[in-house]
Amino acid sequence: MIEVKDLVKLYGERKVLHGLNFSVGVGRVCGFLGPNGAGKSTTMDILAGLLGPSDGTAKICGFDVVTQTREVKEVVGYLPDNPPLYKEMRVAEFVHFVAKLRGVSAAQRKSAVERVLNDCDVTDVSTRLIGNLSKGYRQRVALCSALVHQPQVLILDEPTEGLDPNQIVHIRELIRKLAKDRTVILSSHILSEVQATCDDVIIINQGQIAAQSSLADVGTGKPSIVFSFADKLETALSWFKEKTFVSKAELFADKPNSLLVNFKDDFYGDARTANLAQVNSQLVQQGFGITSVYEHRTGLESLFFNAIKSQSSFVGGQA
Amino acid sequence: MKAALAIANRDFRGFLGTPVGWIAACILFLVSGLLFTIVTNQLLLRGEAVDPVADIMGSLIGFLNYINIFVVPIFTMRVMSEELAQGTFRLQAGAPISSGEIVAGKFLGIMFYFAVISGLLLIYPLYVAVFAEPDFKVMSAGFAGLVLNIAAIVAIGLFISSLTQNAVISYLGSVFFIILFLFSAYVKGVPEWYQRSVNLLDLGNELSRGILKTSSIAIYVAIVAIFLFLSRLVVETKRWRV
Repeated sequence: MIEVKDLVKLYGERKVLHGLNFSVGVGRVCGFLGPNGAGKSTTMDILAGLLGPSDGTAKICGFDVVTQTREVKEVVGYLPDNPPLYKEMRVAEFVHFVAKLRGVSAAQRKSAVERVLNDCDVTDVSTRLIGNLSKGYRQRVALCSALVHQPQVLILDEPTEGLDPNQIVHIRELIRKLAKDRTVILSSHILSEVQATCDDVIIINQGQIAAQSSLADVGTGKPSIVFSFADKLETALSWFKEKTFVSKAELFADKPNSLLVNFKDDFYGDARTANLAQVNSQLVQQGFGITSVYEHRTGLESLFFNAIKSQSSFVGGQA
Repeated sequence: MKAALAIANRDFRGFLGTPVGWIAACILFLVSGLLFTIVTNQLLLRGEAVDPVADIMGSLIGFLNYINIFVVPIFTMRVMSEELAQGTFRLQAGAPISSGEIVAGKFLGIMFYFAVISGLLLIYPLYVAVFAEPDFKVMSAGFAGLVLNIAAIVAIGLFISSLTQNAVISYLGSVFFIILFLFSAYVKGVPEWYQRSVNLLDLGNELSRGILKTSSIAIYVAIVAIFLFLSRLVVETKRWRV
């Protein structure tokens, strides 16, 4: 588990972390969200024992990152944003080397390497040179090296960067599986990524925590529904506006020929699916050509943008 | 210690997995081969009595000691500066091992490589032995001097390379510093013990003539220890900054 208290980091005069406070429990996957330069990688470096904090404390599994660095490094598996790989080494050989470096005992090393190669789906390239691999494969090899010593705490800086959609799903599943009895922190710029993988989210901006929430709380917001039509968009809009169970209907800016519709509270609840089906059949009866209907969750996105916006104005106000 | 050996082993394989190890080997064998031929021919032409050890092997090893000032820093640059620049240093920095183990590993990795090279250079004394009866004790002292000189240069080079991520600065800086270090012996007014301690080329020549003193060995051990210790300090601080 991870406990961070009043964490401050200065690079010379420049303050990049302004007193972070958070904790992540065992079995949780925590998403670290924030714009570029927010301090995500700096925080992760500190948690992995690779960078000294200027002030404050960070504890991993009860070990302090400054005074008990060695113990911290033993329990942490870290995948930095620019993964360290020896291009002239072969995949299995490299993971083997990392296992040795990480102190995996000789008896377990072979099976440990085989296990991670298998988990990260790189067995097919195990004898190839890392320098000849594509970006996605390299990323997965780096992930292998972060996992080979079965760390209690996993710190992953943009783990799915450079992966194709299929691999992203695979790595997400792997992270979820690993998280069962471990603590995971992962950073990302991709909101849907965090939504799909994480239990909690921490939004960090300009070295400060802008928002912190459990995704379960974020996700329970009532979704808007997006209806797309082949034609007669205006008529459909006025049809929705007449209905008593609709609280708000408007043109949806992100997609052409679509309406964003919010329903009143009693529309949601247990009968939500049935209600939605009924709306659809009514629309069809009216002769509207529906091309698609989907739920549009704005929870995390709005949390992110609101947090960043309110903080920017706050910092601007200070200056 | 296990981790140090793992790093040493990896670095050693790394030299052979990239052109650097092969090019350095080419340079060393080409130069030593040419020199061996020239020296042997010259001595034979003169028609005087030839001392195979002092005349042939002595000049060969003396020359290799010179060349190594320019060859060895290629390796120290690779294992320190390049790893700092490419981020692979983080792999070691992030592992639960001490900075001393990291430095020891890098030192041993380069020494493994030069041990193999020096082993292959034994072809010359063996060749000499076919035609003459050299004193193998004296010759071993010369080879020990070659290896000790390499060890000293590796230690100094590791220290300079650990200071920078820039490969060019690392290489030129190491060569420059090593030359300064060696030639500081000739600065007027330096104490005699200092003069003797930093003039590694002279010490190497002494050894190749079979003069093996405890004090010479102690000087090499001290130089290696001091510069490895300094490298360890730099690596320790770098571990908090990468």
